[in-house]
Amino acid sequence: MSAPTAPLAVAGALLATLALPPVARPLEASMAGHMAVQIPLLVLCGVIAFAAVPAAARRRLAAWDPRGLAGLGVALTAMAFWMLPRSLDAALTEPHMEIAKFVTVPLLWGLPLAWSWSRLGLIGRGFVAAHLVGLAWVLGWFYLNAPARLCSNYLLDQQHDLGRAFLAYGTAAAVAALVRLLGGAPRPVGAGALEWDRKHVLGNH
Amino acid sequence: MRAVLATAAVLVAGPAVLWQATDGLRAFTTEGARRVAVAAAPRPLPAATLQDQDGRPLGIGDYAGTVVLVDFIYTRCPTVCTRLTDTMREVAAALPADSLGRRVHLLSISFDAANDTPEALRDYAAAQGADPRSWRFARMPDADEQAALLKAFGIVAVPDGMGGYVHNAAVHVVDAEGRLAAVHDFDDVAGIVAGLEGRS
Repeated sequence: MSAPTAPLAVAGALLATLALPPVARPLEASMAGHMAVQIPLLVLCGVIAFAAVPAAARRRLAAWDPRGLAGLGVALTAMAFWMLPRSLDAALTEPHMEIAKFVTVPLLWGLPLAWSWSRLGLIGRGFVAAHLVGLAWVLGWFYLNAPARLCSNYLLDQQHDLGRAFLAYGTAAAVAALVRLLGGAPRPVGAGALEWDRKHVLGNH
Repeated sequence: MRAVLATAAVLVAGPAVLWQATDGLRAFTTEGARRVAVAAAPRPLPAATLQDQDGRPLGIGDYAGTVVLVDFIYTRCPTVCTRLTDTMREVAAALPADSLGRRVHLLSISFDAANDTPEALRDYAAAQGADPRSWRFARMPDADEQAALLKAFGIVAVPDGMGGYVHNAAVHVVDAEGRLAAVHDFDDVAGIVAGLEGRS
């Protein structure tokens, strides 16, 4: 069965829109617009595009990365790179870094993240979710309290705005995870428990 | 086996990428990166015609053969420039009398050419008690040359929305060959003086 092409079209359209100077410049004018809006939307481009990856390619990928750990490593590396203040500054001042951002964030962050999420079990997903929530809170606190500017191109006030945005994101993600946990199907008691664990906890696809 | 290989490759490549991107975990910010880069390899500077507080043309090349301490300011700055200027004054006071004005010069460059006219620079210099024989104040009248010089030094001045600027602050050492050779914290008087002892 061929993969749907609609997600690719949607991801491409979103990416093209984000790359338009009248859209990109205002977003990049503020630190929160850059880090808390533009980059997450670029990640979303990759996540959406993943739905267009054909089944045959997924099978080949699964042979190399059955539990999504390698993909998770790629996504976390890309995330760490683009969290560096110097990377953010460079994207504003060096055209090749701006292009690199628009290419690598969807391809090396969004797409591998979606892949890994599809392969991870409950433990893996819980680890990723807890990591991201914790990271958002720690970074939020850090940006709100750091006495010096971290990015040469942004003001301290903008850094504080980003801190508040990260705290809000972390809180929203924590609430969403909690709702999901409370609203999900409970682990069955008795004979079905092991099968449930295999499917949900271990992520045995 | 393939899964182990793929995961191991990512576990090696990921940290390697981040190691490279942070100069060995030494520089996470642009300011840190320029200090590491300058310390590793002195940086040539582009020619730029400045204008000093007396309205005379001045170039960093005019100081060839001597060491120049350079800072970037604007005279209306109420915060960090004041501290930078204090540091320059304290360094000048700490240098041997036979060094200042001969082997070592001080140069404060304004990136606010529109407001920092020669008269404004002269008033500012006088208020600091700067000796014009060893410490000049200048602006960059040509916008393109200013942009090139600021980029070479790694100075970013961002309008603060209130008519002023927010900018990275440091004391820069330009060596006898006219290259940017070191970048010091703006309040590190002892470090600047110690660094000069090996150069002048």
